[in-house]
Amino acid sequence: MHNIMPAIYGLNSLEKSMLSIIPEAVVILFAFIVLFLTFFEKIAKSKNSYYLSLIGIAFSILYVVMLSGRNLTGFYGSVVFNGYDVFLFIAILLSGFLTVLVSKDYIENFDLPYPEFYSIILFGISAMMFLVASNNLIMVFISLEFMSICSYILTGYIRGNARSTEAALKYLILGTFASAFLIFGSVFIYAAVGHLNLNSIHTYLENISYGNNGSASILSGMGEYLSIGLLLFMVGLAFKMSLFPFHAWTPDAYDGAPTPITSFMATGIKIAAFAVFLRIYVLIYNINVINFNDILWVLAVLSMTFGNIAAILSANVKRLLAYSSIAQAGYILIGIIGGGFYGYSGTLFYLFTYIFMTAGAFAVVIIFENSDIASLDIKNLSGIAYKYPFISAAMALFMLSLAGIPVTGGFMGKFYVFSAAVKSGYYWLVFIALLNSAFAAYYYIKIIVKMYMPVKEDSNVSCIAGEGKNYGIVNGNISEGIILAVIICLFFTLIMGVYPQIFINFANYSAASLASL
Amino acid sequence: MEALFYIFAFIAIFSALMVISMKNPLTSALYLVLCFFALAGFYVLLDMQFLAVMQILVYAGAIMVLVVLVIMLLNISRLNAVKTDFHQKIIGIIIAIVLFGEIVIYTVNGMTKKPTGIFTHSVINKIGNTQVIGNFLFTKYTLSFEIASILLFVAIIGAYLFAKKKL
Repeated sequence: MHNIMPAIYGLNSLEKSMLSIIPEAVVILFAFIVLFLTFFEKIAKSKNSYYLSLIGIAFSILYVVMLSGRNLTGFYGSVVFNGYDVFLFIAILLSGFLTVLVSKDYIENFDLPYPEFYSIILFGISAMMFLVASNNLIMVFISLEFMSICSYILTGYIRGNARSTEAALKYLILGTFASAFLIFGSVFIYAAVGHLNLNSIHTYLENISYGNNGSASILSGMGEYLSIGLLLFMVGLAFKMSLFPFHAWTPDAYDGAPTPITSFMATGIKIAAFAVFLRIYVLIYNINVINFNDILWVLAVLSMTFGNIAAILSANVKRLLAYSSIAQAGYILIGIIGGGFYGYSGTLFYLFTYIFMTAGAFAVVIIFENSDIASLDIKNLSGIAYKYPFISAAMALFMLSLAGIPVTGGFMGKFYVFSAAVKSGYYWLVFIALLNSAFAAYYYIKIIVKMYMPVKEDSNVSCIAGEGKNYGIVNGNISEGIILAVIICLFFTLIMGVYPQIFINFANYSAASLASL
Repeated sequence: MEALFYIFAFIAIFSALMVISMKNPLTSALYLVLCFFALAGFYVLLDMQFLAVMQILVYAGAIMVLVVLVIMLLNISRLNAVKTDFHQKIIGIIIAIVLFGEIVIYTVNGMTKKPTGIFTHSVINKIGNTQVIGNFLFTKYTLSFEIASILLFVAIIGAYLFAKKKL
């Protein structure tokens, strides 16, 4: 009687809910603060927005570390916070941190407002974190849309540049289409099981498939709805993961977007999409409605093969990295197909290494863009190593890591993912993947060879300079931020190749809390 | 009731087809309004009066005003010579047929007994439609609601960034 507040509004519950979204809330708060800087013209033109966004991300990492070890469920099961989220939050925040670090040099080349740029990056990071944390089909949809809208805006941020605008438009139209598939799929799933919460769907399906009373008859009607729903849902997520038949936006969007944003899309968005797919895979797809592993098998093989063939044929570094990211998505998918505890932890580990190799490679690309080579044709890279020895060495290491050569993080990641697949008996898949990695080494090493080749005095030097002026990137700034980003990426790529145990333990801890759900 | 459903379905499909086949954008826009009204009819049949009103207010009202305004501002009177590729048409038709077939197969073979939640027709009619939606928005889906508001805010910033001439 004396309890006026209902139990659901109890302080304890509300407190827990708030606590479970603190890392995201901090990022959103800083995004608003950065946005408010635009009110003051002098401050808006200064570097404050850059530093504030870095501080915001650092605070969020701090909160994630402080909250780690807790198991929180907030807002009626809409979001969860556990070991899985800790790992992926840190991955996403690091990816955002690197993006902000490399952004400053790039965005200053253009006559564009900075605070909005950084604030939308921060909003995007928070959207990715919400996507990872979401435990409810509505939350998945809304945070995916949030993330997509941030990336559309950032892709077309360089106004007046035809390629940037074109990329944004293509990405927007195809992305909206993919979202439609996702929501259509969720409707079918809801129609089949009558739940929106992922855990409830999981328990419902488990009760049916292991139930005593005539499980087949209950499943027979529901199976069709559920499988079409899950298929459509997978299409929506595969678009964000840029797997083969749904990759069409990737080369154009990666090529046209500002390079820091390309890095952000290749690392952050991919991680968030894979993370949410892994969570839903473990909770729903894994219960055999139809055999999804066969579908994923085909997707992985097609993505790897297509990505590698297209990458070999492309002459532009940014486009090459875009195609290679499609191939990498195929490798990451192998870990999910392999399944089991090792498969999941291997996937997470690979995602973590993937951030540093890709973000590092894009940071170097930004440095190249900022210095004299404006067009990112691979031909123009020849002899660059003699001009920028440190940067080129770093680029060489990132390329080797992406190719999966030992002593780098990429090798360890591939090793864990492939061994998990072998453990589950997918020999052909691993065989094709190994062939593909050997194939892929060709174009990664081609870049290294070009960089270390002596300069040939040919006639198109003047032509390059002219192009540079057109592009607006000639100021040649290399600030501490971008060097710091390269060093961070270098450090992590090497340490994960040489002493991966600490990261493996972290990934294991994360995968354990995923599997125990 | 069933007859009404078929009438609304016919209107919706017919007007949707007209939207994409009309040469004049203004006619297309007006057919889109008709399509939205037909969809609102579905909501009424499903006992979702609140959603029906919202559909008409937001879609048929606000959004369509924007569409018509844009058509007026751009002064597009007639789309002439829209390039259509032959392959595109063939592929489009094949995909449409396959998708349609799939949906038919799934709905025919789909379950006869659907799971029902706690909010059946009688419960909704007793509490009231708007109250149920309000309750959900402010308890179970608070977070989604809040994130949607931030999403819209970011979208406004994006529109401003793209549209403003001098920043």
